[in-house]
Amino acid sequence: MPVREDYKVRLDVFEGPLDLLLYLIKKDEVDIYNIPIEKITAQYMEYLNLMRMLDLNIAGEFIVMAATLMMIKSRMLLPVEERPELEDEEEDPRWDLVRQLIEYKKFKDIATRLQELEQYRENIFALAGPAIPPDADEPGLALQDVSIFDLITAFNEALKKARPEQIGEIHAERWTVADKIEFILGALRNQSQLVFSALFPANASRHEIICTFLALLELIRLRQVMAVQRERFGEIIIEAVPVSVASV
Amino acid sequence: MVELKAVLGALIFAAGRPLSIKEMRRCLVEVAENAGGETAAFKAVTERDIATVLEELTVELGRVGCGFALREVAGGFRFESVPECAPWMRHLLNCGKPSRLSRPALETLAIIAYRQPITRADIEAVRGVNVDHIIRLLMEMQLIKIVGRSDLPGRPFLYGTTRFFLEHFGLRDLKDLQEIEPAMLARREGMSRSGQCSTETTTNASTEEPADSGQQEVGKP
Repeated sequence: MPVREDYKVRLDVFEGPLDLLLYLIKKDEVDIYNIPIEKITAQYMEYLNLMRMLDLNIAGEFIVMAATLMMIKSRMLLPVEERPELEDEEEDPRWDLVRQLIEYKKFKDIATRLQELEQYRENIFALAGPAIPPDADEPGLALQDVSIFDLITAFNEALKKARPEQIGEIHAERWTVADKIEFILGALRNQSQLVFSALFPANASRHEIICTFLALLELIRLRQVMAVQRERFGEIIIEAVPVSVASV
Repeated sequence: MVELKAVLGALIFAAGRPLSIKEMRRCLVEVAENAGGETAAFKAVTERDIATVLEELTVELGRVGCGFALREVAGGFRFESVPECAPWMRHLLNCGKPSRLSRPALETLAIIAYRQPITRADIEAVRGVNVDHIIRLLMEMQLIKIVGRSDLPGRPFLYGTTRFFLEHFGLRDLKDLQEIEPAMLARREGMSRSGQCSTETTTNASTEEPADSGQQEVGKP
């Protein structure tokens, strides 16, 4: 019975397999330290089938967990003498999973507490410095003063100064965007401001320049740095985001 | 002669962000050294002196009932409005409905807060699902940031919480997190056992308001 293609519902209640397991454990009022593995596995599979029937988006992790549950179940069915050698002689095959569930549950409880705090704080206001409001709906580039075209212009200038590539020369790709993200953040720890052109070393290859620029765009998008211009078409300055919102 | 309390109040008022006792002291000492005269009275002020005066100020402000309190948050002190006045403030400041974090985002944030610095893979190991989109969101909201890179193969990024994280949840510093955890455990135990002394922490926990008494709450460092 195929469901219409245009409706892809995401069941956020069970974000992951651990959520589902904790839900089942709570629902059946099961003792987490003594999980009836057969029953829980059966119910888990039942829910998995229901989700498939409804054509819900099931993360791969759900399938992996199903396999894990089966494995634990089969281990539990073996007579004790035949169980595979483990480091802890008396180790219960359920133990790893239980440990994971308990830890996850602990964080869920903490999350509830954080939620209470967050809601309490919503009603409190203070004189703020240049606080940047969270813009959860629009994760676009947060450019202040500087437009994307200014940045591309500057990038173009930097590219022109790139080391010319020899035909037939093969370069090992030394730089990754992640490396350059680290580099930019590190440089800004030492000075509060950097001139755009200072981001690119003198003899940089095209590849390095491109990586650096992509890293910069990503950091701007994630609001870790900002790009400003003192005057139209002037030099672009890269700054770390102000103290009131960044950490020390 | 200006009182220490007045100077501190003025500094906190003007700062526009949480001001730490260290910063206040530095200001007092530097002015005493540069300007001299009456300001020299504060040349030898200690952090303990400042803390005492701030406690007094907190209590007095609480009694006056003028709609804002002196609170300690994100490593410093700041005047903050009282939550009861929120409806009027919201209207005046033209704030829309505040956006709240989803449960998965809060859970991820909790893991990062308690385990920082931590890699994405380790976060996923606890949650059992992919956290890519949540990490992006939390970074954009400036609640977390990249704090370094792990030495493991692939050199994945390490994440940690920001000062804004502390402000957003009204925490003084990361040590406050230590209390949330035992407090949550206590709530469960408090239900089955009576006479548990930790229950007083849990009932106050949701208000989290030291301003009335000026005293530090039970269990706070």
